[in-house]
Amino acid sequence: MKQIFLEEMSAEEKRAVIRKHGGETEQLLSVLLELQSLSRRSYIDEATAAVVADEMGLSLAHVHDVITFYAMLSAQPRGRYVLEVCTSASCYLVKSQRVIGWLEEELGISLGETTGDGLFTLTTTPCVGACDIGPVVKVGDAVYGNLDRDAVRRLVAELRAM
Amino acid sequence: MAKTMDVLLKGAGTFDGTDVAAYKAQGGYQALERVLGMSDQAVLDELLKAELRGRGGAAYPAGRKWSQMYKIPITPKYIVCNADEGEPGTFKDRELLRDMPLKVIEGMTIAGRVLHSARGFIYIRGEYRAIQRVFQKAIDNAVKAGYLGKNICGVEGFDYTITIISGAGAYVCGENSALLNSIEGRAGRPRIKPPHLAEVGLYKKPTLVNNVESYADLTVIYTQGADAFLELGVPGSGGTKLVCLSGNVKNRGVYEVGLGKVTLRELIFDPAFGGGIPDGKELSFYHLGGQSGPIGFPEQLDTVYDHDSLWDAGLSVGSGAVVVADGDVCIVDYCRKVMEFFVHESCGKCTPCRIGTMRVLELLTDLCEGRGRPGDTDRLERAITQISALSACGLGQSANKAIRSCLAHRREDFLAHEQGKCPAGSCAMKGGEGA
Amino acid sequence: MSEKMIHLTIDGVAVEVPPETTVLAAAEQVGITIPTLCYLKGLAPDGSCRFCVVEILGGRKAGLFTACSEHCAEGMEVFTRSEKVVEARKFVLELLLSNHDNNCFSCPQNGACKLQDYCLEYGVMENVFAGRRQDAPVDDTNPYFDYDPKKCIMCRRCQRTCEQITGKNIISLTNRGFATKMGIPYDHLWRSSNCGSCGNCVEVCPVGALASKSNKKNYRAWEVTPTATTCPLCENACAVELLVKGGKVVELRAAGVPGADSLPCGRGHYTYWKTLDAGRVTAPMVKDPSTGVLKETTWEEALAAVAEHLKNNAAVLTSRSTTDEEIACTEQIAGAAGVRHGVFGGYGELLRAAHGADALLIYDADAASGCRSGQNCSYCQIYCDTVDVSALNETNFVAVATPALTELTAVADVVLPMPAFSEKDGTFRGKSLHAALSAPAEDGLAALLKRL
Repeated sequence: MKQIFLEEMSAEEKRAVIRKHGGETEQLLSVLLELQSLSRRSYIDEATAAVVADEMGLSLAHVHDVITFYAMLSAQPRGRYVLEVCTSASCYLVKSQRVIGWLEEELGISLGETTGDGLFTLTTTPCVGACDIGPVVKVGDAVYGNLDRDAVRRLVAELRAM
Repeated sequence: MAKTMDVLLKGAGTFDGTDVAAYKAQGGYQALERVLGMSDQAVLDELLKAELRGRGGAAYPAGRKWSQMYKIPITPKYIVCNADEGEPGTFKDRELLRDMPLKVIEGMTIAGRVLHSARGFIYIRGEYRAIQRVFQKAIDNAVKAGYLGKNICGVEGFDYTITIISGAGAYVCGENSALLNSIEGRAGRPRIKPPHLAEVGLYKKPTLVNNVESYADLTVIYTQGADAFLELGVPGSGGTKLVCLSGNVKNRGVYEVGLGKVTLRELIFDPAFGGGIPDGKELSFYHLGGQSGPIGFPEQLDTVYDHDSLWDAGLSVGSGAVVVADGDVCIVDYCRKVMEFFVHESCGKCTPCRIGTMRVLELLTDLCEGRGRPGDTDRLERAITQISALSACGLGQSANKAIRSCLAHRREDFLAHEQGKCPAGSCAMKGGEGA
Repeated sequence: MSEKMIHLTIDGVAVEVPPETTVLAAAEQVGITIPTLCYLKGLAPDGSCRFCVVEILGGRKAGLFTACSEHCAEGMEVFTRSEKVVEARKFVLELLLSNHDNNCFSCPQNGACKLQDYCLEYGVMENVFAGRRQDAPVDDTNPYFDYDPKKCIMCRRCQRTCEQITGKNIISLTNRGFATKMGIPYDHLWRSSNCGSCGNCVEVCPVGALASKSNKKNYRAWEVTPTATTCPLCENACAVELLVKGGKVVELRAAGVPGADSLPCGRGHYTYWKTLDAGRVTAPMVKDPSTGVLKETTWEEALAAVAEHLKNNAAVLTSRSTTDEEIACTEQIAGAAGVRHGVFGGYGELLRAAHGADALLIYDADAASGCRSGQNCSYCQIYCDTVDVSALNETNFVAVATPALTELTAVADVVLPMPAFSEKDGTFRGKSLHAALSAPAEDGLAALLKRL
């Protein structure tokens, strides 16, 4: 089934996604996370935020506040795949810094940047609760641990092929 | 001889944790059925007797919390499970949520029964999105089997539902009032107190907030009884504790221990647990309870692992995290990483945390990069003391606990960095004297 | 049912208060002022700046607590300026200062800034922390005020006011932690938002982060004298203060904290008094029949012309945005001339009221036309649209009494000067107006009435 990206969805299609969650304000984060997962650039654009605000009876100021407050949501475009290297204590102690270096090499960008083809953003994240398999990188909902140089190379290749 | 326990995580991973029949075959739902035959007061008394301390980090006696909530005459009441597990080095709730979801559900249902609440919420961190799906399956199965929904277990009028609310990457939402704001669809900025959450909580109604492990422990208490539960631990702190070992330790993972039955030394070095430091290195220090907890040193290793013993030694259980650091790690640099975390996670609402943590981070970064000046350690101490005293919520109040314990035990390391020297030999002092 | 009162001491002074009274309110009761930054009357306490901390012994706890949010408890001993409190407040100021643009010289708030005042009071004379700063650029695209994030102390009074007091929800909080700032969602410039420029966020900002352009360019706090009066523009009758410098009004602000009694709109805050800047009517004027241009004339000529035409099918129409006394004056004029009287709000209503009359005396009290403050803000509900009054050219004779030249005076045959609302005393909706300045000319309507 062909993937429909958020950027190509009509307002009505976005509303359908929102309504699936029941419409209660308490599901706002779930709604935003799902919409963002459909984005080609892993973010919630202003038009989508406005639809969410309207559909859920909130002000745009409120929705924008929420999007920019929570680290998993973004109001600015990023790569299709956001590679988040955990740099909290447990991973830092097992040299997460090296993973950053390997990924910078593999992707040809520096930490914080996005590749020219819009496919990858390299960034850091605080602890994702995978400290027993550190160092880790999180991509979407998936966490890849016990990383060495080869594992990093394979991961990037896998993602490129998707 | 220290041993791992097999109580909370008994059978975990060997059966489909979302399947009610499989769960019952493991002894599941006996606790709820027993509770249904008890009076409210009897249930509350049992919880007090069991001396269960909250497992999220604050270690508040659960029995006392429940008894206080029980007395509040306002309805409706809400039951909330804090499954945000944001404390770095902590990954134990993950196990329960993924492998024993029905245990958590059963515990939350018991709470709903006793406190006469018809609605439970479980706030699962956004980083555990995949686990949220597993947990939803467990909820759906419980509804099908008559253990959630209307007239649970055939008891007329006992209605209870559990809704999953997802987080989206904010450690501060582990703070209970911020968590409730997040459930209400807002940014997770903590509330001011008064009023307290037990009276004015979710949607301004009385709300109970407890950790995942605490709810799971209820199934043990009401199956085996308070006395047996207390025996698993020590007076003042009953039950087992899920401990998370990570960092520079051979056997990283989750270990269930009886409270007061092991020492820190055993946890880190015993082959049944941590197995010691890899690559033949020495232990430098260990960070207990998460980034907001105190740091311990080799001289304190013989402290028994239970709440009171650790508190007496200036340490704590916290979330159960034990992050181990070997001799290559510079303690000042580690403190810098701790503060980097809090700068990232500060909600930004109050002045001391929003700006103060940044200034402390800058001070520590200066020390690690060869820009230390005489008096920096004193400046650091003044700043962290004020930030702790002035911050509006637990995040800012605890952000400096680690640094404080380091200043108490290893002040000389900080003083050395003032002079541009790194005793551990790891800080690359740009422009100052290297290691 | 009598409430059980609570007894405590504040700086040694005994206080008795009902339950759920904050320490801040209790202190106020006995004349002790506790300094605040984020606290705003009318909003729930925020407890975020941490500046109002006091030391509390007794009761059930000890330590530093924010007075704005802490409830009094039996037996509490509160100290509002102990050494611990002073040290804490100094630390808060040092932190704020370290993330604040210290260029007081060019700042509109210079001399009226809480941060300045407290730094002086607590002896914080220099920047103790060097380090990262909020460096987002100034947004000066709103026509009436500027926003400088570099001066923001994150008290969030602006955002809370916009959300809870005016209910407009324009201002969004962006980001979290150190990077938090106020702004328009998605980083748009202020001018491209739906902000109606009501200006209440500017009023509540305790520092110079939000400041009016007039403030920045025209005056500093020590140069102006405030006169309390009432804005007669609409039914809200906001209690306001006019700030005067050098014989001119330079600002209008709410009297006290913006809230139920006083929530000036964009027109009230920024354009109402400004329309008088240019084209002030300082003498009677009459249209030269050959050129079609208004020229100054004598009172006799002007008043005679009006009196001549005010009969039969004429009408006296007055704006409702003025004092009871002036409206009564127009009624008396109509009575004396034996013609009909009407009241209007805005030029749209004026045209409808004027329909059918072959001669008009119009009192355009507020020199009204389309509101120049911004989009429909729904405050006064009068002036949202710009109306074309050239249809009045068909009317045989039009006399306009007004403080300033407008598109209405362009169709007038006679213009009579009138004081602006800043230049008269009077009554409006049960409140009082007080003149802040004297009018540049005699009261035209009063003169006309005397003649009739």
